[in-house]
Amino acid sequence: MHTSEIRTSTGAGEGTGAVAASRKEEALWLLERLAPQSAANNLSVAFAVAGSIREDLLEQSLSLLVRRHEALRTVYRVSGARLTRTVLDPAGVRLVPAVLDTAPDTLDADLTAFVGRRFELDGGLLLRAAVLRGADREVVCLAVHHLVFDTLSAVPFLAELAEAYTALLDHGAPPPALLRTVPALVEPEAREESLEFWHKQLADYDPGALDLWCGAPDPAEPTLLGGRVSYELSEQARDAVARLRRSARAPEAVVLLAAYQLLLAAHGAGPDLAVGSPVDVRPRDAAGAIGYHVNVLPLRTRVTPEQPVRAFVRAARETFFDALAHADVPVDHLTGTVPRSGSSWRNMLFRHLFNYVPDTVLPNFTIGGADAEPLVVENGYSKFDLEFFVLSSADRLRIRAVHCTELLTAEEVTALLERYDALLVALAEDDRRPVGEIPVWSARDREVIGAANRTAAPIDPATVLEAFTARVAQAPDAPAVHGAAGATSYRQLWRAARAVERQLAAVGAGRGEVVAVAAARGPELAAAVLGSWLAGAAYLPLDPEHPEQRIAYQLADSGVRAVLTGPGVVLPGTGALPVLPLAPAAEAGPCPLPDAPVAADPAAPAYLIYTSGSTGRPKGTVVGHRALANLVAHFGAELAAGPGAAAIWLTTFSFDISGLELFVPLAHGGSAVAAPDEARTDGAVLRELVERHDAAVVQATPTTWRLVLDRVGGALRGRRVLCGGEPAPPPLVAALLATGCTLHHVYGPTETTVWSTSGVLTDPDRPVHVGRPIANTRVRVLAPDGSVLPVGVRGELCIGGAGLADGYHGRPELTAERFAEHPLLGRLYRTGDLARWRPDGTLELLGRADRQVKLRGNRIELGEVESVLLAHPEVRGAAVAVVGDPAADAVLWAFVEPASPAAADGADAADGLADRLWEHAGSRLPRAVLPQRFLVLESLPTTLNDKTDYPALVALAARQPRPAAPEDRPQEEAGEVRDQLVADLVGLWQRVLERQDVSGDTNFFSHGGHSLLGALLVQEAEALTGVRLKLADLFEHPTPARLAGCLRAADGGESTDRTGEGE
Amino acid sequence: MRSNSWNVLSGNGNPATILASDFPATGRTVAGFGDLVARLGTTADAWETAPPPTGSEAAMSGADYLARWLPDATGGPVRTVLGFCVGSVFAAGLAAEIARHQDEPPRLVLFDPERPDPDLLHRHYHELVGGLAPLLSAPEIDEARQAGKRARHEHDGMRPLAAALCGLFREYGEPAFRRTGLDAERGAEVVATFASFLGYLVAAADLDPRPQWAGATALSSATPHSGLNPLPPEERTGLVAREISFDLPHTELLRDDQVARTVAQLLA
Repeated sequence: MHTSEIRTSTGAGEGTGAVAASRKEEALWLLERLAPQSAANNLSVAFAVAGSIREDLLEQSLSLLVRRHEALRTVYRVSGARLTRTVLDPAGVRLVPAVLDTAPDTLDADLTAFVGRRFELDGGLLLRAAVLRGADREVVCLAVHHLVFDTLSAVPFLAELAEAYTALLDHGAPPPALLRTVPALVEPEAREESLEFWHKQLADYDPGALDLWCGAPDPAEPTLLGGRVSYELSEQARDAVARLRRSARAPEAVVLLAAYQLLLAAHGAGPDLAVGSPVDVRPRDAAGAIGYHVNVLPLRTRVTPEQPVRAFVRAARETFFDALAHADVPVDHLTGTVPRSGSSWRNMLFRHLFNYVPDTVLPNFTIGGADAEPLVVENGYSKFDLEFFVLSSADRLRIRAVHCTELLTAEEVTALLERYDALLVALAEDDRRPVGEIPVWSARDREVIGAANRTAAPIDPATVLEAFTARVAQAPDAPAVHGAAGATSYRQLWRAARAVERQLAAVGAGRGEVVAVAAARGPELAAAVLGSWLAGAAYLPLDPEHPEQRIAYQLADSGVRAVLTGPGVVLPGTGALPVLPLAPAAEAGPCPLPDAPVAADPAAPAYLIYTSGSTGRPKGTVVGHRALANLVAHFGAELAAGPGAAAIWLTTFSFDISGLELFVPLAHGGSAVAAPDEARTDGAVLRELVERHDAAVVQATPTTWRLVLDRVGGALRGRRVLCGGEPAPPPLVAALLATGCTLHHVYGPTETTVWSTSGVLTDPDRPVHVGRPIANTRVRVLAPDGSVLPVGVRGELCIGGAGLADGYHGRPELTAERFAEHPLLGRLYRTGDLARWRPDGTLELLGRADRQVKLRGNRIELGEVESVLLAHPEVRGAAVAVVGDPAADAVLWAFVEPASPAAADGADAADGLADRLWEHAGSRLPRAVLPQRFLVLESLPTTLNDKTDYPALVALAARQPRPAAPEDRPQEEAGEVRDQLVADLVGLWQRVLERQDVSGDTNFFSHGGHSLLGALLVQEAEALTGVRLKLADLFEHPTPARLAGCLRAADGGESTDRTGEGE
Repeated sequence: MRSNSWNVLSGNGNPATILASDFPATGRTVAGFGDLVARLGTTADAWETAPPPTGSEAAMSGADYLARWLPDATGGPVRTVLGFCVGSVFAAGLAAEIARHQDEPPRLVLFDPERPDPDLLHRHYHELVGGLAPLLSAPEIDEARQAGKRARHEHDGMRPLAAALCGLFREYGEPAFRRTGLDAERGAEVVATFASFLGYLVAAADLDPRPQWAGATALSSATPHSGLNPLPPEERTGLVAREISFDLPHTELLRDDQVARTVAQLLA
């Protein structure tokens, strides 16, 4: 935009005395302090004129209006911690419009730039005007601060502007009526009854529960930058609204509001949630007043899934009308009545706004004989996470969705709007349906997720054994396994497998049994697996390197019938079990080749594999032949496996992904190159193997890739590389991509057979995804209540389909818990991983679900808090749990087992340790996630699985006495704070430290205060007493009682002693 | 006069017989000599060094610090000089000077004695910045720390490094001050507090405490990077006459009853 002439609005006139701004006004100012670059409070009035505007007349008209309306010449000044308001004398006030060049295609941006320029609260006028020329029509634009204006102010403003301009043009003089001064409208005090209504209405409300499961987390420092998505509701949606209006006997605004609330709830807000809705509070006799006369009402609703649609809309109607009847209370009077949201900057009862305006409010008009059309100009900011501004006309429902771009992208907002449209249609289909049953999905969601899950494919051959034996018959002399002693052919491997089968038969280990295998990767191990299958048994891979206790546990738990051990392997803990040494594969005697593929029962178990969580005893997952065959068939195709293609067999066999490295080549006529263990740590060893065998496929976990990549990276170009098993850090992904390999990023728990999703990554700069479901696999992202979530919404990743394991060996309850039966989707494995669908149908992982909780708006990783406590030298064990109702009074507790038992001996010792831990944690964790209570226990209770027994801890916490609240403190302590100054300082301590357990002797710095907070406290104490204080004073006098003494001394005694004075 | 350069920890208003050297005014949670003296149950007059007013330390050398404290400290026979952490360096200087004024040199008892070096300055900056979470985001903290590392690489001299780190703290701490709600003046005060502490460490580096330390008793914590603990064995031996170690964190050393009993015995 080119400014042809810079002129300014001036407000030089001396005004009446400054008065303190209201709380409602200060709230606008607070927002600007939080986002000091923003102009989120700027409003606009703009119109396009079919003709030419005379600047001189526009200036006279604007200046006339500013002089006429006290509101428009009200100015604000920041003075210390206060905002003051002054009305300027009309004589000195002028509003000179700037004249700006624009062009048709830059008009919107130029207007936004003009409106989005911040007003400083320095006593200057809070409005400016411009004429923009160069677009199709001339545009007049007024930018004005919300402190002196609101949306409805535009109505009288435009009418009077047109009237004044026209009169000046026609008669050279303004209409006499417009020369009369309009005093600023003073809003009446809120009625007691209304305050009471709102206090009741907002009782127990937690504004911290408004986070959506989509979008980005709150930034530390909001810019409030806003975007806008315009959307017109479909005809079906409009029909639906009309039907719901009739059936619920509710106005259109209420139907749309109720659906907005359901939309937000389906995306994670609430279910007890409030939506802000602006309401005009001008008294009837001042309907045309210009100024800030809107109150944003917090419309609270509790979404209960069982409630029928019609009842829900009716309840919304009651809430809406009750709120209107008590609209005289500005929301800023209510924010103090609910616990403040934990996030650092938000101090609001709602984060989502609903604004319903009939589009007859600002009709076209004429100015100086020319037709004028009002325009909507965005200011480029958004004060709320999301605002639905519904513009209703007879045949259209248009939504202007304004959103914080730091939290929600335009794409996400568009998806919300599409779901809103679909939701309205679904709501009207049957208004007796419970709201919880109504899917909040758009057609696009169905399309994207449906396509990703359309994975049906034949599983052929039906088992890996069948595939292998077919290859034996086809190409018996092709190499099957490359080991330390050279290549073993398919024929030789077949012979060795038959030998194993005979060994097993000799000890009666056959169909339905489990056979343990412990051998180095090589042909003997491959033969052991194939031989077990030939015998009808499932194999249990054991790692001889594992502790004896763990091996003994697995042998006992699995009910193993025999143990096969490779050359040189000595397995501890086998007890009385038959231990069958595996002969070198090359020595197996001749036997006929299979004349037809040998089938295994696809429904029978193929292997049993143990995994351990972070705690507890290992659990054995039973995986069937069909599930394994599905994986092998899928990756055979994805990796283009086939005769001649070698895969590196790198992973330890007790980790299930090792099976892919062996079975994919064996089922497709290729070869597995057995790598020694050092190839997982020494990239040179791995590189030599890759190059010698020209391996087509190399798979490893991110940890392994990190170790070997610098040496092997140069040999990966053109090869197919798999990476999975734990989160892959983006720098590693970039490094892998830089090698020139084809990078398959794979994801899956053991319980769904090796990998369940896979995707080829190509762009190191895009967020890492885990691709799509593999063949015959369906993935769902579920909300905690089991509802199926659409694209972009975070939830638990659940997997169904052919890869599902049979369950946990001998653990029916655990199996039932993790392999849940979903009412709509059938059997699913709940991974415990958080994920979301991306718009392209790939999945993005977002961490573990079970250890993330939310308290007062803060997401807390319990494990992270525990690890901080465990880092303290006096702590042996730590458990952190939420006690109480997270939606209400929940408290974060830390349970601590001290390193030395003496620390739990006696209340004083325990208190001392708790204090030290509080300080320790306080210096390492955000305050919002700091445990509020510490309980020192001799030892932490454990379950039978040797896991920390969290339910027992929660029960224990519930039995503990509550900390003394100020009102039930012992007498002497109450007496101590009878001194008003000390009491005020105690209040200040409580506020700044955000804790209640403060007395006159509470040391600021040993109770969570640091120097920044100290500076804040000093600043506030100075404002409280008017006595100049330095930070050093607080260092020297760190308790309320001592600082009170210091204040009195500094002030010469009496004047800060406010004992007995009413405030 | 006395109230300016010394804090009185105990006693009856007579000249001090116990002097303690520390930097107590940072609002820290680390135990201080006040905690220790309370546990000693002594009626002796014990004083603790008070730092110069914030801002006035800018150009002060180690000798300037000593010159600030000494005139008041030589009023009566000083029996013991205590030093904590870097305060042990000044304790040595005080002890040397006091020995010239009285017949018997004072005992020197040091707690985690430490000589400041550029790495120590950098460590304090690093920890300070980390302590600004959650007012600063993780990337902001990371950026501030990276800048600290660069400053450490660029400056080997204590004074230039301290100046650089203060500048970085002012720059990177500013959003945290703002988010806390501090006005510019208060923010500057926080920076000045940090500068004052760094100034104290820088000045200590001017002094060589080794002649006095060689005759001193050191009480050590178990915190690996504190006091004598990080020193290689060959350097550690002989640096002090006697070392008594406690299985305590550095932060608790002056708040422990057993340490207090040991000190009481040393003073007896």
